[in-house]
Formats: sequence, structure tokens, C-alpha cells
Amino acid sequence: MVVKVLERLAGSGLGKLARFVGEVAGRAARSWKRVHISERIAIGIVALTLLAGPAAVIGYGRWVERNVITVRAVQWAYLPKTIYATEGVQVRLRIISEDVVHGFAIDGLPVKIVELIPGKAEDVAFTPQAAGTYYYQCTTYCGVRHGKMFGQIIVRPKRQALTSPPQETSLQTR
Amino acid sequence: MSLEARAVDIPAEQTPERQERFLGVVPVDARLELTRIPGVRATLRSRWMTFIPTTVNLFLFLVILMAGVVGTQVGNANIAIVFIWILWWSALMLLLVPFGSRIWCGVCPLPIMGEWLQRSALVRLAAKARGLGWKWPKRLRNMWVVNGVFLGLAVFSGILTTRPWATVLMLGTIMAASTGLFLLYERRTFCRYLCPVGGFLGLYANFAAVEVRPKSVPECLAHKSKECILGSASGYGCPWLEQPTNLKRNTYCGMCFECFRSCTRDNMGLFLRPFGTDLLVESHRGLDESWKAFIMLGAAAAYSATMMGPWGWLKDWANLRSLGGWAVFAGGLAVLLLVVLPALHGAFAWASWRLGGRAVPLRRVFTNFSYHLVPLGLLAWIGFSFAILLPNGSYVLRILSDPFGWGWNLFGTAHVPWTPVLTAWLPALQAVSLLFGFVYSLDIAWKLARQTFPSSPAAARAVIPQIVLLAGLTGAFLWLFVG
Repeated sequence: MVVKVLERLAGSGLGKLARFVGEVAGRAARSWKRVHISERIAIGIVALTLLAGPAAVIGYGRWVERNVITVRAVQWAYLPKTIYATEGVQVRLRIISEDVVHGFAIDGLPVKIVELIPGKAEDVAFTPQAAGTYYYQCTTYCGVRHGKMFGQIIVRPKRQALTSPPQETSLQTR
Repeated sequence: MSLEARAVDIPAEQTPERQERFLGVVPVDARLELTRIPGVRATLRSRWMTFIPTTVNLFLFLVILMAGVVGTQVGNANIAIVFIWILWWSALMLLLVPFGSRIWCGVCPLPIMGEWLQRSALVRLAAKARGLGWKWPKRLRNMWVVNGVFLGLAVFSGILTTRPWATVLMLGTIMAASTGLFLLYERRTFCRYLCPVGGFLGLYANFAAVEVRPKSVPECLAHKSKECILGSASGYGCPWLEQPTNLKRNTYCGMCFECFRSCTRDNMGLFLRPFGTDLLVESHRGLDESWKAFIMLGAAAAYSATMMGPWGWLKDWANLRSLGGWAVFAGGLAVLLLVVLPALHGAFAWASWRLGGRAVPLRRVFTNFSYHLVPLGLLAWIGFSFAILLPNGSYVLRILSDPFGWGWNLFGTAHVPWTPVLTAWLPALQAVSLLFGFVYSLDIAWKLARQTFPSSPAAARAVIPQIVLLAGLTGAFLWLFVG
């Protein structure tokens, strides 16, 4: 049975493709053996530069930004517009203005940044003690639609956070 | 270690008079062979010497590409803007070109993928080149295309130097185009005839204090196998399509040191020399290079006015705040660089021609005298670069730790505040740069006059309008920088 399946596969287009890939791989392996050691080292260095370098940069970024929610301020919105958090769990925000000077304050929580300088990240941390919806808004006049620049943090009770996962950006209970 | 300054074999036409001196001090033909320093020749012969820095630059370039695409679009918080326009551009003008000629071209990451593909090798010698190996059309073997490409980018300078996405779009396009063209055309055709950076590096490299030249020209001429042109078992033929045996100017020498590897007689040398030596080499001069000199001089003035001047409306025009304003800026810049400056130079060249007795063709007077604009142009760019680097250099430390503007702190320098350095000295530095350029340009103008006109009295009369022109240009730059 197995032999029959293999025979049919070998006769099909898929089998031809597999044989072609095998041949190319075999040729590459034979060519690689003929490559001088200095060239192999250089190829390794270039591979590292092209693949591992950018991968390391991205990996580092992910690692340093774990447990941090980045909020980008642009005329005239915060991205994301809604943040989910859990009662009693610390929230760490990194707020970055992408264009002009903005401000940032959360109504009902002790968080206020008077000046968000473009390109300069500001980190804040707070622990909401009560469930509910908190609004954050721009506190520095930033243009004609400054008044429309706000977002919300929905703080859910601990019990609810454990049973229903949030739909958008959130912090997990640690 | 003792090194003796020595005169190398320089063809007679390279120096008007062998005892001539720059600024009355340094002999025109003074040379110090750096390859006599132990280890220098061996280092330059190693292909790793170019491979390693190029690969490091390639990595940085990839980070810059990523930053332009996914990083913050706030210019001073993004590595694309800070590294390219503050660090790299200033380094080119302040150090790399004056003291290293086209050394940047030898380690430039933009065309390297194309060259690797063309050779199908990284550090080993490939048996034959891949690709179609076409030859560049004869009519285009000059700087005109490069002038056009540079001008095409210059009109977008307000966007290119402030928006990371624009910088990266430009660099990515150059990289993609160069890679493709390496597979179509032979060797480094792209770098020689198309690279927008290579054009001005080539012109200003003639002012540089170093050169790659044969140690003995007669030995080169007697060596019939011409390995530096055709290649040998140890190196490629000149990737820049030059004839190292007959190299008289730095314009198209990309400082890749391939001729050091291919020459089996070790007859190539790296020499320290006085500034501006190649500006006195009469062969290979042309109007394409004259226009490059006008473009670079005019661009230095235009960028100084736009980026550092008090005229907000000019900034707005350059920054494409309105299409009409930008059109006026782009048109004005093109007219200034392509028409006004050449016409101004033409008027003074005409006056020199008249005062010099009309014994030589006007075109020759026009072309020859355009080369004395090179020292002033480069030193004006140096003054401009001081004004970019000193107030903004501290961003480099911040960007090292946070290249994407994402709030990282890789090396603990992300919170270094913006700190202008030595800005109280900036006007003085700019003025000294300009005055050095002015004096050097005067010296070159006088030497060019003696080279161009048949007698010293005629040259003395002919140089007077050039002195007036150089004084006027220097005065205009002084007003722009410190006025």
C-alpha cells in the first residue's frame, strides 16, 4: 500500500518537483563543499547581517516592550483609543507623540504629562484600584481638533478579567 | 619610524612648474607614501579590509531602512535622519572627502549587494562576472546624468532631510537600482556614472589629501599585462573602469584598493599629498564637472539659506507645505544652480579672457577657472556641516540607544538631553573655513591662470576678475553664515 502511494507520488508533478528540489539541494551541498573556508565565513557573516541582525533588533524590541502598552499621540487621536486593564494590576504606558507637542492626563487617576515632546517617549505606571471607565485626553492645545483627542481605559473587575478575555490591547494579570 | 616626503613620477602636464608650491609653502609634487608604513600595504591588499566595514555599514543600512518604515516619523528621534543627514553627511564633508578622497565609496553598502551578485563571490576572486556586462553609452560617460539625478533629489531636500520615510525611500531606491544595474552593466558603472552621491564625491575628491597612484609610472608602462585593468590571479581589474597605470585624478578612483591586489609588482601606492593637487591636472577637464562645481556651490548656499536662514517662508516652500510654494522653490533652485551661477561664472570668465588677451579659447578659460570653485565649495560645505553637527550632534547619542524612537535604552544614552556643543564658536569656525577656502581658491585660480594663459603678465591680468568673483562668493557665504 505504502509502496503504491509512493510510486504514484513519484509519477505525479509533485514527485517531479520533489526530485528537482532534491537535485538542486544536492548540487548546492556539493558546491558548498567546494567553497573556500574564507568565503564560507564571509557568507556566514552576511547571512548574520541580513537575517539575524534585523531579527535581533526586532526581538530586543519585543523583549523590552513586554508588559508595556505603547500609546501613540497624533493629531488628533491616541492609538490605541481603548486600553483594557484589570483592577489592582499595574498598568505601564509608554506614550510617544508622533507629530506636535501634546499632553496626556487620565481623569480620575494620578497620571499627568504636561508636555509630550515629539519623539521623546514618556513612561508612566499606575494601578487602578476600582473597576470602571477612565478617560484620557490631550491637555496641551495641539490644533483645531484638540478637544476631540481622547481615549479610554476600561478597568474590569478581577473576576471578570479572568473569565472573559479582552478584545483589544490589554495587560494580563501577573 | 621615519618617512621621507618624496616626489613621485608625475607627468609634466600635472604640474605647471615642478617647483610650484601651494600657498607658497607646500610643493605641489610633495608626496608621502603611506604604504611604506609597516602593515598598511598588507592591510590594503586584504579583501577583508573592505568586506568588514562594508558589511557593518550594510547592517546599519538595514536598521536605517527598518527605522524609516516602522520607526517614529519624528525626524530627530529616528536613526534614518540623524545618522544620514547629521552624522554621515557631516562626516563626509568634514573628514572622509578632505582626508580620505572617495574612501566612503570603498565601503558604501548601497551597491554592495549588486557587486556581490555580479561577482558571485564575497571575498574570494570569482573566475568570471555574472550579468550582461553591458558597456555604458559613450555619450553618457561623464557627470551630466549624475548632475541631473543630484538636482532631482536636491529639489526635495526639505522632505528628504526631515522625513524618515523619504530618506529611506531614496536610499532603498538607490540600492534597488544599483543592484539591478550591476547585473546589466559591467563592473561599477552605476557608481561611476549614476550615483548622485558619487558625483560630488568625485569632484571634491580632487581636493583630497590622499591619492592612489602608481609608485613608478615607467614601470607600469613597461608592464604589458596590465593586471590593474584586466585583473590577475590575485585581484579584479579596476572595478571603477579606470586605468590605474595612468591615474592622474581622484575623480573616479573609488578607493577600493583592488589595484593593490591585482598588481603583481606591488607598484601601487597610497600617498599623502597637499590639498587640491588634482585641480591642476588639465587632462579630463570638462563642462560636466564645471556644472557639478556650480551645482555644489549653489546647493551649499541654498541649503544654508533654507535650513539655517531666518526665512520661514523658504522653509515652508522647501518642506512642500504648498505645491505652488514648492514649485517656486524647485524652479528657483534649478535656475540658480544651472543658469545663474554658470552665467555669473561665464561673465567673469569672459572678463578674464578679454584681459588675458583672447589668446586661448573662451571655453577653455571657462572650464579651467571653474575648478578654483572646488576649494571654496568644499569649505562652504564644511562650514554648513559645522552648523548641522555642532547644534544637533547630541542626537546621535540618543539615537544609538533608541534608533526607532520607541522608547528603548540600549546603551543607557536614550535620555541624553539635546546639548548643542561649541555653538558659541560656530560663526568663527564657519568664517575660518570659508576664509581658508577663499585663500586656497585664490591660490588655485592663480595657478590655473598661469596654466591657461601663455604668459605670466596675461595670467596676472586674467586672474583679477576671478579674484573679484571669489571675494564676492566668499562675502555672500559669510553673510549667510554669520551675517
